[in-house]
Amino acid sequence: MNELTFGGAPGIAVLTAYAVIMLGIGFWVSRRRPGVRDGLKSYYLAGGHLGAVVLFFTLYASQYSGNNVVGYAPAAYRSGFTWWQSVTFMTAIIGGYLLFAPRLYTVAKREGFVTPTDWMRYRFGGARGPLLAALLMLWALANFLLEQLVAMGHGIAGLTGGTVPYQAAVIGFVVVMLAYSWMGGMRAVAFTDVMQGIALLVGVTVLLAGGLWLAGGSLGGVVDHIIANEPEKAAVPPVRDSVNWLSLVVMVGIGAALYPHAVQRIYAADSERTLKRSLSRMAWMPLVTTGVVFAVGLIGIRLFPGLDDTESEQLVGLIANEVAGINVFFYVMMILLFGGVVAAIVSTADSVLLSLSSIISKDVYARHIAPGADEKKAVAVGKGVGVAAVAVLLVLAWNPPTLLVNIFVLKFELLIQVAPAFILGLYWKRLAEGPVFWGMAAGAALAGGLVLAGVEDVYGVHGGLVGLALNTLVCVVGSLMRRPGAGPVPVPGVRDAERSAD
Amino acid sequence: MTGTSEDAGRPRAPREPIRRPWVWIVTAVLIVGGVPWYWPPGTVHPLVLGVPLWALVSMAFTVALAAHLSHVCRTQWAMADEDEGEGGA
Repeated sequence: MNELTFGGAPGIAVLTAYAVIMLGIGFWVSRRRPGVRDGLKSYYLAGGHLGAVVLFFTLYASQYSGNNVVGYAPAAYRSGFTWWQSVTFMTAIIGGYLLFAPRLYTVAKREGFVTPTDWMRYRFGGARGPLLAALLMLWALANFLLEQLVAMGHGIAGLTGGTVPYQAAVIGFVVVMLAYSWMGGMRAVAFTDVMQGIALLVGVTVLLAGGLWLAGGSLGGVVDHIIANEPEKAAVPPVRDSVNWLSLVVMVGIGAALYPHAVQRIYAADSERTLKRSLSRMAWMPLVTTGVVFAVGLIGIRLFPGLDDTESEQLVGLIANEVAGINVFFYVMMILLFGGVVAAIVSTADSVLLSLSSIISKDVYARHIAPGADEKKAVAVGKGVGVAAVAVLLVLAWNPPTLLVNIFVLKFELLIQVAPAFILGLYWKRLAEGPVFWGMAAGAALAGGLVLAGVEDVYGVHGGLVGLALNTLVCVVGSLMRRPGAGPVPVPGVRDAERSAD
Repeated sequence: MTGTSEDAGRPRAPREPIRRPWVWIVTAVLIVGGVPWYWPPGTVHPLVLGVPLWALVSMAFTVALAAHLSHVCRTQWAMADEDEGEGGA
């Protein structure tokens, strides 16, 4: 994305306008809610009062990062129709939510949860389980944030046409992001997500329209071209790839729903009705976002045949350059698209950073370092550590380590290991603290070990799921081996629902 | 499905997707059916509407999955007895 012909002054103008609007939203929220920074719940969860429209957009903008556009179109270019799996796995995330969100929301509201690990503390007691879960989540969040910062660098470099050193531009954007997050917490992040989500949706739609225009006006022509020239991209994949497809649907479906910032959006909903309406609408968003990006990738096969893997990574920039050349309308729209991509990256990064800070504030600082500290102090510490984390990640982003690079890609593999504690823990009373801790540790070690050893999958099944299978086995067998009633197992869940189930 | 008219005035039993086996059977069928494992690898034809049939079938399963999950959110999830009028931004 370093050679956008439409980058330069117009791009800088869009980014500047965008930064000003976001700061304005942060300022407006802080003026409207003066006490927003004083409490953990008001700062990190908008007081638990997000309404349907804002909740929908913050779920959407947090879930869909810039990578869903600039990374997925090249994947469709390389894999062809097999990449339709991206639409399926993004849709499956709603199924992941349905496994735990209805009951977790009710318990979280009743008990006043702020972080995902509050559930574990409530359900299992003890310190080691919640701490391990917090560390796994922090590691995954930090790597996710690192990915966003690298993507932000590429996006801004493309859009400013190299006229501003991109490191300076990234730092500028990070400062803007920190400023509005600091002023308004989750409320500011969620309100900026409304603008960011709309920018992303409009951007990908116009990219598809422009791409279709260039490709002769019909997707049918694009498919004919693929079948005639690269039939392997239109063919049924080998069985191992099908296993991989299914594995990815399960892993992303469960893992993405359990991202800490995703779980916190469940806590932040102002009512059950709001939450289920937002998720109900979210089920359709992969078709109009990932599905559109999939089509753009296929159009790329016709427009730019023969790109190798590295060259194909530039596909969105290449198509945008061509689209911008059609006429003034598309030129302006392509500038807005890249503004939208940067917006998508920032909107994911701000949510991740806020969630990371909340875990530091509540699960690490207020729990283990300074028990009894007042909430204002805990919020301040979370903010401070968040800034330090961003600084370290920026250094890492610009000076990538040459050793142990794989530990910086561990995300879903680790995150998904908290799934038994949530999903089994909500419904199975016998699930006990010890097996949950050891299962999580064993699953994370196996999944992380496979990634570090360079083993991407086992017979097509992702390492994260292999670890989750071991984790679940330890949880179930370990809990069954304990005598019923041995040790404290607090009754989980919803009182009425519990009664009706038994 | 929502049962708003027939049980109006009576306390409603909580509805939770996890307790409805059919929800998960349908979800599993739509996910597994969307993966093209049952087609011979390497197959491109027949084409329907200009698209390989296997891909079209996979797309149809995903659209059905979205419709199913969206429907489940709206109709099979009612833990709290909430006022129908609330919500909004």
